[in-house]
Amino acid sequence: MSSVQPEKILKELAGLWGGMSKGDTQGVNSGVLRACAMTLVVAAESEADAFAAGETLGELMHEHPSRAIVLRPSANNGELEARVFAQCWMPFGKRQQICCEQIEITSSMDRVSEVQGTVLGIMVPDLPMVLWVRGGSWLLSDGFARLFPLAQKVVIDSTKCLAGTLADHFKMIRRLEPNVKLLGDLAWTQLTSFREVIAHTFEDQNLFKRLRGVTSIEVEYTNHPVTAAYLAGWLKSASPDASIQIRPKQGEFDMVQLSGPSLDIRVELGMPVQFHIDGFAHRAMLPPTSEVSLMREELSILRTDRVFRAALAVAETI
Amino acid sequence: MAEAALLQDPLRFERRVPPCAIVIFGANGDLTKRKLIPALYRLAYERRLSPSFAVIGNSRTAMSDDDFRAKMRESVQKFLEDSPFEEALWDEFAKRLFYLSGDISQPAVFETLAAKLKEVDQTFQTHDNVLFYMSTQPSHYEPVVAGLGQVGLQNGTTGWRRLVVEKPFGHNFDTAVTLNQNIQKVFPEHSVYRIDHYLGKETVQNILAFRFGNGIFEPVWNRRYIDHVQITAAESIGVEGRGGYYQESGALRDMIQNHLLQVMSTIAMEPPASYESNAVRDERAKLLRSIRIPKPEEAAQWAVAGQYGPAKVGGVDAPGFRQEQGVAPESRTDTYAAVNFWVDNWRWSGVPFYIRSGKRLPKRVTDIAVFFKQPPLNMFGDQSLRPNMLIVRIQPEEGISLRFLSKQPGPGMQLRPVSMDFNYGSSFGMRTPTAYETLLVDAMIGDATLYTRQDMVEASWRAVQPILNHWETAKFDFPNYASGTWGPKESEEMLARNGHVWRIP
Repeated sequence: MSSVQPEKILKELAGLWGGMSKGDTQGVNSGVLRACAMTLVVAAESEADAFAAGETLGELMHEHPSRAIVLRPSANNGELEARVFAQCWMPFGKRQQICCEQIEITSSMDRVSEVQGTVLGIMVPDLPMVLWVRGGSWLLSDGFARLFPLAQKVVIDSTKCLAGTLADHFKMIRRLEPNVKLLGDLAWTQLTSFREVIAHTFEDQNLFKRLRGVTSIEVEYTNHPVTAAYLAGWLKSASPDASIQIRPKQGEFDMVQLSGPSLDIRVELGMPVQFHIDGFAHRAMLPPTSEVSLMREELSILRTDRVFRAALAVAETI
Repeated sequence: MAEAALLQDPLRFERRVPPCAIVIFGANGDLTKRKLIPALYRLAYERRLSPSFAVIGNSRTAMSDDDFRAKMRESVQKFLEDSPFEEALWDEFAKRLFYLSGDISQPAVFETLAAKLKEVDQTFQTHDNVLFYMSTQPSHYEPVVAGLGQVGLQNGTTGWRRLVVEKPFGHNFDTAVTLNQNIQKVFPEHSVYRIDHYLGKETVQNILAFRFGNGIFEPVWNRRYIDHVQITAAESIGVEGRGGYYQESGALRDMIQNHLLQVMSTIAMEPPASYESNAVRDERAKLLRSIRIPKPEEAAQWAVAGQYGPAKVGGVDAPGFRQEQGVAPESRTDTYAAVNFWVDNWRWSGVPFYIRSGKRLPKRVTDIAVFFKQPPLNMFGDQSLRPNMLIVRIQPEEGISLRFLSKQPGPGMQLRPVSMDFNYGSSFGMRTPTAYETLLVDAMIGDATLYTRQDMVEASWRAVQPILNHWETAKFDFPNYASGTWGPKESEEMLARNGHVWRIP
């Protein structure tokens, strides 16, 4: 039995909304509007991380209004604790605030298995639940894994939870899979704009045919081998006979080299992206990404992502 | 293309617009300033346009490229919705705006245009793809199309050519047929995109998602459960300086024949086999063809015309239509029209579809109200049971509401109507694209799903033509409604004959 009772939290939420609606003395067209399209459970790594997650949630709520449940790890083995509050914003040109509810649960790692019962009791019925794991420490806990089957989608960030070697890391992801309906990885999501501009370049049919003959895909990374592995895995779908190499490099941006008898392309994944094709260079400006934009993208995809699965399947063989 | 699709990721990548040039005829007009250029700028803001993109504007007014750019800049700053204006982005966008003055009745203008398109193609690599946009007066459509045909601009060497035509598509059934024939002498039907901006509205598109993406509505979406449907498109303003134009069209032509019949076809069509352009349009067309054509004697019974008179609205004197600038003092134009349509198919036989549209009504609202049949037995004594109602709000607050009865808390069994609301804005806080953004992208991509086809246009004219014929000779006691009211009393009487009343939106 959890010491954080779902009924108590739900009662506090009802009280919160009751209080807010009493504050609405202007009639039905003003005051607050309660919005909710999913339950979003966020597993934060620390108190500071929970604060950062709160900032992101505040922005995400505009497009993905949800009942957000933030799990905050505590160092001591005390009781589970919970508090509820609302995040509100006033849409431009409107008179009515839109508000979403947020519940913060503090738990130590060894009591995390008790959280499942609480989350089960306070999830919004009949709407999807997404679990966003912001770091690697929760993934090491068996008790935490009990939350996976409740979620329609689990979003991780491999760049923050690289477990040992690249091979170990993908094994860890593989281990998650049987319990996870849909998996998202922000390490993959951050590649979207780069992949889009690369795909755009290869819409040129002549170039695309030459891509099929590529014999070597090399990705040099400055930060995270997982991202490099995903990128190489994705490119291999168009160049099935190519060998793959990924290696670290010094500098500010990652680099992709595609080589073959009829093609030599170097792509520098900086801002802007620079393509060097057959001795000619061209650039493409990309919009900046942020944690909010990455999560926004992942929350919009609540179905099987075949392209990601294919890239993951190749990446784990590297 | 199947091979190149290997690198595509439709779940995550934006639908990208191919390289192309857009030629706008009527580039000095209101539509270009208020809608087209702001929509294109907004697409540029979202990086949805290809860098290989250019606009060539044409109208009779003499203007340099720089003058045109300055004018468009002013328009974008004024009419851009929910978006910031960025100087750097504008500068980049404006480099791709060109202007070509010239009278479209002169063949020389099309030769100059052909040369300009070549130049733009070389500078911006627009891949010989050209979208011609008719933003001119309707009387110019046929001369422009003929002019394009004379210099062979309807066919690209390597790229595609498409023609976007704004409404009105003809002034009546005969002129619509002639217009279609004359356009098709130059452009094949698959290259003609007849724009009806109502179909580009997110909420109108959502009707398809609502009906065919859910399992619970279709089983009751028929004559057994639905009593009648009311579609309202009301404006609180008058003709606002467009009296001269409006006098020639009227509410039936301006709103019902096109926008609202398209909305009705979306509400009432059969499920298409797929969400593919022709599959959707086939079903819309089939529905429009199923609308019963009124016999001459029925036209008087099934339709009501109105015209607003002067009144004091909110303490301010509002002129009557005949007192508006550019309107003849004896004008017989309908500023209000209400029609009772019937659909002769198995699904809708016997279900009235009431459509009304008018100017100077109490508020600006467009919505669809589906009235369900009452329960067969009233077991709650003498309390009258109100019908369940499903309301699709198209503007201004997009959403869907379901009205039903609930027990009022407390002793006894008192029933009270309550509403279950879905609000687009609060469930999806993201900005919704304007109809013109959606439709321009679709035209550039070559997706005609939300555009009307020749057979749809002709079927909708056929449905209203007997009413227009009757109104040609009918005697009207105009003005017959005061500004700020819900229209003439005859409109209420038309519904009363079927035992119905207009709801107040």
